[in-house]
Amino acid sequence: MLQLQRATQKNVARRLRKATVQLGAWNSHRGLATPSGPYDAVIIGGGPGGYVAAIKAAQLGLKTACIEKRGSLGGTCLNVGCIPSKAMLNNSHIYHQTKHDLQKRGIDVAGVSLNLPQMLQAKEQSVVGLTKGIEMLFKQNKVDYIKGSASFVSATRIAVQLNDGGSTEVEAKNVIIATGSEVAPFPGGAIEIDEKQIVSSTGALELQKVPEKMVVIGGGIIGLEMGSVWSRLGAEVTVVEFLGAIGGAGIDEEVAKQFQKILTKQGIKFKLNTKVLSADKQGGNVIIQTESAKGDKQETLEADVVLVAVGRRPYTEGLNIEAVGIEKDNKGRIVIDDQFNTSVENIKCIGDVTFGPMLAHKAEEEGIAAVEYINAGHGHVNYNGIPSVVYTHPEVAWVGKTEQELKAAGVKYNIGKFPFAANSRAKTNQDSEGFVKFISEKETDRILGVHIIGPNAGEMVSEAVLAMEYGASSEDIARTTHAHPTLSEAFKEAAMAAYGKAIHF
Amino acid sequence: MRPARQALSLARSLSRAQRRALHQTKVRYAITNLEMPAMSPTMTEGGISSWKKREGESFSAGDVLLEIETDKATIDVEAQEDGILGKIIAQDGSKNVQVGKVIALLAEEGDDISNLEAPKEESKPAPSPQPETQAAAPPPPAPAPQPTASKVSHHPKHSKHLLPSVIRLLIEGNVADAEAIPGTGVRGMLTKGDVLAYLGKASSPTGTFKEAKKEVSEPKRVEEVKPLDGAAIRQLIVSGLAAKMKLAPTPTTPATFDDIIADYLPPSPSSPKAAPIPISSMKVQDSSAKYFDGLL
Repeated sequence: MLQLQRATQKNVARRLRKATVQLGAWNSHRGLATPSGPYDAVIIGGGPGGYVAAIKAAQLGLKTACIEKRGSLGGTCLNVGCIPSKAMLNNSHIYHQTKHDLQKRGIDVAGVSLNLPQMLQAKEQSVVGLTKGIEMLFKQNKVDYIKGSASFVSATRIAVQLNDGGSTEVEAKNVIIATGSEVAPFPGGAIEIDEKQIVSSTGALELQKVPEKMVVIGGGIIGLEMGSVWSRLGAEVTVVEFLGAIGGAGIDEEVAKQFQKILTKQGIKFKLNTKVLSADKQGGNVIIQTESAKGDKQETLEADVVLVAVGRRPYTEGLNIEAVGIEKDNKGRIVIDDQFNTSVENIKCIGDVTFGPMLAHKAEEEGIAAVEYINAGHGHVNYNGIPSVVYTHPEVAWVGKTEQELKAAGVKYNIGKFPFAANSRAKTNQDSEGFVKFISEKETDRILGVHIIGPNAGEMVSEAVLAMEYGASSEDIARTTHAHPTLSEAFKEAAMAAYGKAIHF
Repeated sequence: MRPARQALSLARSLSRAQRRALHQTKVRYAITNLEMPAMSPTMTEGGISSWKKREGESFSAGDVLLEIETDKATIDVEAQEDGILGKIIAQDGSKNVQVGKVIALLAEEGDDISNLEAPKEESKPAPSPQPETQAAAPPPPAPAPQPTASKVSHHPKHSKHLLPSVIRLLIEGNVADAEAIPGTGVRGMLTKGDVLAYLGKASSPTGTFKEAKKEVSEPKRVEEVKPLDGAAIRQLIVSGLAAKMKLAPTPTTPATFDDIIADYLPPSPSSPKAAPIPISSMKVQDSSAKYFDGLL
């Protein structure tokens, strides 16, 4: 009995000691706090990578701030990229369809005309609505939104030049750089962008008048989307591409060929294997000198607007990352390891400013994973399952490997293809151009890549991403019920074709 | 997975107990009927490929009694409880046996099985092998093996969700223990490739496709910088002060007189610095003594 008591006393004493130690530690922590207190996470950049990371961090209970200098959240994507271009693509498609397509569907319309200022305003409205929406989300999740330009003082201290004058400094235990990318200038600097006549994607969304002739330099995703918009609104569009195929990196050759055929039918002209030498403003027009890639043929093009869409480059201006010793590679990308760590322990980096495809959804995934690393020590992004989408009409979307990549790697594969012309819904919608193409490994039937060109391809590709995420075989897709009549049946039938035979083709 | 299994067997034994209670009130005979089980919800008839137990042979729960052929696969039927195979009614090779039809009579240990006959009223083909039909029949008060669809499932069981292709392959490949196959899918899920590789129909779970090694360029690490909290600052100040307070390091070898005066001696031609290496202390004293002698 006595012993027991003594033991209990000892325990109590031990517990008390522990409690005081903890109390002491807490006190010392409080003692240092700056007026605002050090943040658990400061995210530099409020684009799709940065704002998603900030919200996620706050949701996980980290004291979070997001520094953005644009004055509105959402980054390039929401302000001058994905979102406004989709507004223009959708509305120009409706205009074009109303003008050229409705009659054969039994709808007679008369006096259809373009009100470009109104169309631009509609685009602006959707942008403002969405960026304000993110500000609301910041408030809801208690993310501190600091409007200003960030610059590293030390690895844990960031100076902010505030947009409305003055400056402040924040202390951060963890920093995530998510500063994104900017329009890459024309290589060699031969063409200067003025955003009026010689425009980047930003200026191409702001043209106050439909150009008569437009030359697009670069046949990648941005060039084809913006070319489509102005072509539908009445411009004569010529796309000049240095490579032998359109669609940009990662597109399947077969899809690229079909894509070019369809766009040519829509009235866009293509000059492939062609190099642009110069673009000079002369008498209100722009004169573009081109040369064939081999260098044996020269040509002069004339346009009232030239769009330079030759890619984007990482953006770290004013960040003063050199001061803390963050390493960049020769392309200006911040070097990270597989856990998004830069060369400085507590600084991570995600999105366009580091490696990988410059896609908003890739940045978002990285943002969440980076925050999870900070919070829990693990996170995950499957880089084999990042889809690409071109929002033209028809849309083009793909995920995984192309036939060419697999051939080069010596992988044996099966192809399953199904045309939308054999799909009941596409047929009844009178919108049946394109096909779905499955590529599966020959022995195991595992899906390695899915390439879609056709109506709603961008939504449809999600099913392929999900299937690949779960290591599915084409048989698994083929044995999964797809509603009838839907476009998604074409997806299922292509899967059937990959491991057996399609029913309707 | 373990708890799930336990729960399942618990549920099973519960229902068994309930059935037993039901039987005790209603049944009078010691013999029970083994009906053609429905191996899948859609199965209406099947064949008996072979009996694994002979008439009169005793079996315990879990033993394979017979093999049944369906249009899709051949499946083993296991005994649910201990007993004796009394009489086989549908012999090996029987085809198109309706689900619910009595194919054998089972007895308990010690029962007389010399002149067993199938009960007449039970031979009507009832495609719903539910406990009620059994209770209406004259089965024994003994625990009755009832291979119903829920017990011997047509669908392979696995602790993780099975993809449709995997289910097909497990059935076609007659894989009894799918848990033994290592899964390479999300959180260990089985992929089609996993089963094909297990069955020897593919060279590896991903076949000829090899996941490309990601070329991760590790950034050069800069020394660790952490935000200083109060405790850390205090620690730094104290350690700084402590460093200042430390006395000059004491030499590792004890100083000799020669060491001390070496700096004051003129360089000797043999050794540029004084204190030549292997001289014994006596000799040193000698030489210096001579020098001082000259001075004094």
